[in-house]
Amino acid sequence: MSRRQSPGKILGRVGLVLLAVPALAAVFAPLTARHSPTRPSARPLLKPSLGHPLGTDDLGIDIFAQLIYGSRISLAIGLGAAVLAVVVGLTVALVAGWRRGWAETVLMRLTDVTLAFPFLPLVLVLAAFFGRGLIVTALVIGAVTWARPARVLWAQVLKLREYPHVQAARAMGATGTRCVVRHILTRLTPVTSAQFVRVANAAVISEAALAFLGLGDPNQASWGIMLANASSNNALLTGAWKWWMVPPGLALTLVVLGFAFTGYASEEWADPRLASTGRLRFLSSRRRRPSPAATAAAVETPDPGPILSVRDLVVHYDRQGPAVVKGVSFDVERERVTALVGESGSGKSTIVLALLGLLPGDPLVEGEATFEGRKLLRAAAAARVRGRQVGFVTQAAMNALNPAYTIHFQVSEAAALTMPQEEARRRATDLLETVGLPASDHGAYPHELSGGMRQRVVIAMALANKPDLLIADEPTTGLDLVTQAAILHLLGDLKDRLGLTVLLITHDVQMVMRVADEIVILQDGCVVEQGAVDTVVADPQQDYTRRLLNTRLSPLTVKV
Amino acid sequence: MGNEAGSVSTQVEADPERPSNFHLQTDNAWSGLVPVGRQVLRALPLSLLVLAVAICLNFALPRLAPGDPIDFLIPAEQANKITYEQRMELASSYGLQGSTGEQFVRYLGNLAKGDLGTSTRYGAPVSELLADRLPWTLLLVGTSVFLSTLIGAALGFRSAWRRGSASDVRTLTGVMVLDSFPPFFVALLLVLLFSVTLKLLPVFGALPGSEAEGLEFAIEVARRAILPIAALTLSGLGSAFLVARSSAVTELGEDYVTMAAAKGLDGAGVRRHARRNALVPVWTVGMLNVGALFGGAAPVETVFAYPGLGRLIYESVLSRDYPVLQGAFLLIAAGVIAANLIAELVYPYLDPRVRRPGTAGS
Amino acid sequence: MSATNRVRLAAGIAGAALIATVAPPATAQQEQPQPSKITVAYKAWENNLTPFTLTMGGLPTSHDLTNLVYDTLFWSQVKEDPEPWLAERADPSPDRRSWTVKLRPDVKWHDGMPFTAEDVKFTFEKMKNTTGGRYSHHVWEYPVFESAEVIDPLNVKLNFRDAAPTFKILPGGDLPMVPKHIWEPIGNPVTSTSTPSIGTGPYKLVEFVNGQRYRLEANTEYFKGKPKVDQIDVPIVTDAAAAFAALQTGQVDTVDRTVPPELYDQLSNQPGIRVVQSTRMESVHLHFNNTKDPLKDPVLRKGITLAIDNQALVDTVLLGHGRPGRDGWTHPDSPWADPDGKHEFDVARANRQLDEANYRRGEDGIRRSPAGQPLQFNITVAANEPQHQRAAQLISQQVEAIGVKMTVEAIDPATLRQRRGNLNYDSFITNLESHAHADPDALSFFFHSPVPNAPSAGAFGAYANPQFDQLVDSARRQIDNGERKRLLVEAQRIFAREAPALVLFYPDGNYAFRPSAYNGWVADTGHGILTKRSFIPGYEDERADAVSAGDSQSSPPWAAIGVVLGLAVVGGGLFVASQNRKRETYEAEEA
Repeated sequence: MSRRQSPGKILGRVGLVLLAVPALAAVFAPLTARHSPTRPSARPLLKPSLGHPLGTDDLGIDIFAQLIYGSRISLAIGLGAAVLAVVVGLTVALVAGWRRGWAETVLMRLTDVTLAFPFLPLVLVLAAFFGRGLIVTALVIGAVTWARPARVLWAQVLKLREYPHVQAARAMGATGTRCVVRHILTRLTPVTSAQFVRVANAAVISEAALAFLGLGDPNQASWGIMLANASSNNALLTGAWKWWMVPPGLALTLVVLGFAFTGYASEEWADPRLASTGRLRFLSSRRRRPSPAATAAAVETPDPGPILSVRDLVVHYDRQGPAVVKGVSFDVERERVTALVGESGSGKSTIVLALLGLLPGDPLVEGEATFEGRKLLRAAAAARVRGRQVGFVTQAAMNALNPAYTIHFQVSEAAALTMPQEEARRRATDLLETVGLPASDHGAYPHELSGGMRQRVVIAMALANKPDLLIADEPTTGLDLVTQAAILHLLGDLKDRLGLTVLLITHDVQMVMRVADEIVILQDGCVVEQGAVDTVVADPQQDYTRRLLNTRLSPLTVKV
Repeated sequence: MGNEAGSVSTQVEADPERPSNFHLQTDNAWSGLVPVGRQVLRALPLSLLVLAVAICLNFALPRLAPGDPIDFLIPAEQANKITYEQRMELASSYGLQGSTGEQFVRYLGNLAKGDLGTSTRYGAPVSELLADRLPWTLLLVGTSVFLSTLIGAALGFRSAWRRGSASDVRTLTGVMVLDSFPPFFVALLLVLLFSVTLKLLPVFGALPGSEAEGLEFAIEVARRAILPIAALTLSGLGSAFLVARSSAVTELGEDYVTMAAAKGLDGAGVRRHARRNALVPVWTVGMLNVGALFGGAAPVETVFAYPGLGRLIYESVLSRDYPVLQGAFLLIAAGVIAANLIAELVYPYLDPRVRRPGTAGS
Repeated sequence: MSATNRVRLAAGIAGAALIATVAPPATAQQEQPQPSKITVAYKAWENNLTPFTLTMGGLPTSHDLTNLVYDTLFWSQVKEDPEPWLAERADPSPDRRSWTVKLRPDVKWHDGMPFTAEDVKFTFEKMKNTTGGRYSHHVWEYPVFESAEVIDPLNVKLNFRDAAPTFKILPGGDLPMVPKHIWEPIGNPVTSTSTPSIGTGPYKLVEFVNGQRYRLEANTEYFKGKPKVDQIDVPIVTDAAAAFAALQTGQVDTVDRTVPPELYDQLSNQPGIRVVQSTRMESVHLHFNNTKDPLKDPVLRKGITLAIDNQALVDTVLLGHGRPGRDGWTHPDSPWADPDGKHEFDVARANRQLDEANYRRGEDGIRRSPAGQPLQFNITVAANEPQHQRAAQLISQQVEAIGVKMTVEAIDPATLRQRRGNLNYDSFITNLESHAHADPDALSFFFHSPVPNAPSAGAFGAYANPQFDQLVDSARRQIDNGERKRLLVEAQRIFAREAPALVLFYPDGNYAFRPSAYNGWVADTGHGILTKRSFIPGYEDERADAVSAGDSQSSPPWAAIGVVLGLAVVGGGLFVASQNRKRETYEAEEA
């Protein structure tokens, strides 16, 4: 069950509510607290009663009043320190990140040095030396905590600097403050707010810790001072901790929690990747051994008829949302290349992901799909065939391979699904050579290879377990023309040698015309036209097909 | 206080030290070793600079405060009685005589010889004092950071796989609530529960009574360490959890995760792939926490009367024990730098892109 | 089993292991007829417990342990006629400027060397030549020691510059004797913290861990008899709450601190714990800066002190466990106290006096001095003294009634010391112990006007009144105790009139201990219960009167609690694991 709202939004709202409570208490303190927070109003160390809901402290001062008024101090210090730290940090980050050069070197080294100093001892020392009081405490904490926001914001400024529109502005000569403000400052807001909340959080806790260690200002009834007073009056042993320590402790926790939740929401705001709530079902699938029936079935002569048959496939990404695939039906014939063609957004990738059970979130999938006689859209059927009977090749460009493992490992990992380790390793070596990667490259990491080489690895992975069907989703996009031709050549070669059936998804009509046997044309989630390539190309029935086919011919028209 | 005071960052900021055009062209056959060495060489100058500044600051900082250590050797009543010569004589026992400039030169000279001076409060060599306290701090800090990173990361990954679900939000909330308790408050509550009410564990101290030997000694030390470690671990869970969760969530958005599933790996296999890459920020945060905790556990050490560095610094501040303050700050700065260096050194093993920069462009 | 379940099971196992570890140790205190070891929680680290080094670092110390390791010629300073201890007798010369001390013959140092007159001579001379250290000033100035002559190994003659009629009290009852053979080669004793602490006392210091604990073992050949407890373990517990929690759980057998007022009832009523009274003659007082305008004016100071309600302070800050301070400074139990001394609390009179002296109120209700300065002052307190802070807060509220504004300023002890030395304050609060009150020369020591080579009266307010000076100077020279007392009483009355300082209250000394561990504690006036007399035979009659009688010791059902907790942890873990497993039934099945 997925939620429609990301945790950040929920927590953000809760956080603001949590902060509102002490904020309101701070503002309306004189109304809510009946007694003075600094003057005795009863005998000391009284237990809670109607007149004093939290009893009195060792001087006879009402604890409830201290709790209410304490919010002013904690919030003031938290916010004050945060403002200072962020203002300083932001200034440093902007100057260092924008101007670069020696200013950057000096400032960032200064930041590093400040960061290298452990936080609490520094605060301890400064507080002991420079005295007490609200303002001093806020200054001290701010003076120690500016470094981390500075560093984070600096990294952001560097990133933002390279954004196209900013680069353009700089190229046109805009270097002044206004440029900075307009382009950079506003975009820094999410990260800045995340850092602000963080520092406020740290400041509130620091003030309490300082007070607890006896470095607070006794004239202020902050929550930290309350805890310190309670502690020095042995509240833990007398039982008074229940009404003397727990309320300020909880109040602190509440404020800190409020800042934390708000901070979390801010960070999601700053990095939207964190906000995704899609549940990935395949994360929880369990290891499956191919059942004897399936293995037996694979050995038998496959029955004639299409290897994959899709009927009336409807896909909604979100149960409440619109359909992205609106009733698609097609067949994939054995030992042929079938191409699913359409523009971006036509739903071609979605079809494949749905068939393979790789859609994130909580999608609604209806219709029927049969692969080798098995229903694909039921239970964990897709999981059983993934990587085994069905191989999947995708656009490899940057990230389809895990940067942390060697390519050999990633291929042998795939092979190990159906054979023992040793054999899998040998198979991986064979496969990689088959796709044209020499043995010297087998120990390389993905980032050490070119785009074309990576694509070959992905193909090798897909073929590891001798699949009957190879699904290739945009396998040549992003590669230069020469490499594209090479990959296509490879695919064709493998298809012939291994007797593969290929389902090719692409928007590149030229490629389709060169390699495909069958073509299915998609527009907006529906099949517009389908049939043998030669037939459709020669005589397109639909307008859309015609328009699609009228793309500029590329110089390379050699049929592979 | 535990880790950097209630930090609840969810994302570990991309290390700006490694800009995107970092890739160096290298064709060396033994290019595996050189970049590791290069890492160290890159990191060293900064570390040395920080150390140098730390040395100077350590000298200056304690002297900013009113009062000086010699005051402490003399009862208040006699403060005006003692002559200047007598003060200098006392000061020279600690190498604190002369003008500030002279003291600084002497300080640097001694430092070069490895001499950290003598504590004005204890009369013992500072290096001895630090050597006494350091193991306790390491015991508390090392264990709690290890545990909190382990547990926090495990919980964080678990939450990430279930991101957006009720279970995820519950765990997220729970961990944040836990993280929001001030560490000394957690410590107080633990003492209340386990020592005072249940009388299960000792109230204070690190060392048992004198007779324990061998295994019994180890057990007694362990018993006394449980509560402070628990307090620090509980307060430190939050940052590891949040970083692990957010980094895993980010990794889940990468194509190779889908690819791993597509090539037939079961859930555990796919998670392994994501986790492998999500570990880097967790490692970073873990090491940062070690550095931060070196001197930062003072409030917890106070509650448990644990003889660690944090408490030593606190007491030395009160008694203006310059030599100890200088030495302790230096030790802490060195510890933080060491932690950062170790973190840097391990990166290549965690992220192959750092180990062997690509030959081809992206 | 999924990773999560593995984690849960591991947690369960860890929990069970944890329970096994925390099972009660075998060394818990049992009921023993003759205790061989007791544990005392001590307030602060005192280095290697020698009379020279124990005040390094400057934080408050109590000297109790040093007094167990070392002896004085007489004991103790609080009595008007202290008991002979290392000395058998001391005979003065007619002008009281020389004292011939006859020592006990059977005394040995802890390392076996005999204690002789040479050691006495050495001690006095060394103390005189040492700067710093707590004991020196009774050799420097009150009285001023000049020379010592060894007559024979058991007799020594001590010569002083002025008459020293109270020699037996001070330095006799206060100055610990140190061994010549250990200390003679040491250059600067104040900083030599590695010198072995060898004394003549009933306990030897056998081990210490810097900042953490001491171990004392009985000196079985002590000249007053074998001590009743073989070994004393002294962990340093700086946090009062931790110390008393440890007492309650039995981790320590007594705490070397007075029971905080809020814990008094609880500890008195707790089975297994007894609370007894034994005063240290501790006092807490407010000092004015007597050199600063307008506080220079005694009328103003008296006006302020008239508005301070000492009894209210006792009732609130001490919860009644103490006595209100008196205006004449000297402790009511001291033999030198003014029998008619009291504290005057009269707000109306204060207002009248201030009105008459031209301290007019301004628009804001705060009075101004005749020169126009608003009467706004700081009360500076040490941040690590919560009682002082609380008292200061109450005082600041009390003096509002007379139009004076006093603001509490808490600073760290080191800064406070420095500011006291520089007279950089308006007023401050501090405390003193028995030594300061038992001392007949206390008034002179603290409040004589500053003269060259006089003690730093600046540290106590720099009061300067020639008439007062004359009285206390004269008192010092008196041979006859009666005349001395008369002069001191008159000085106290001047003090009460001019209020250079005000004693706020004398906290009661209440000490808690576990009788099942050791029940021989003696209330030694001025020294609490952790004192020599508690351990050596012969003082059983003076055993402290228990305030509560509770001997039965109920220990918690260890095993039961451990088992229950262990089951809870393991059971809880398994339960949650099972729930998780159910929840993780893969929806993938439905995909």
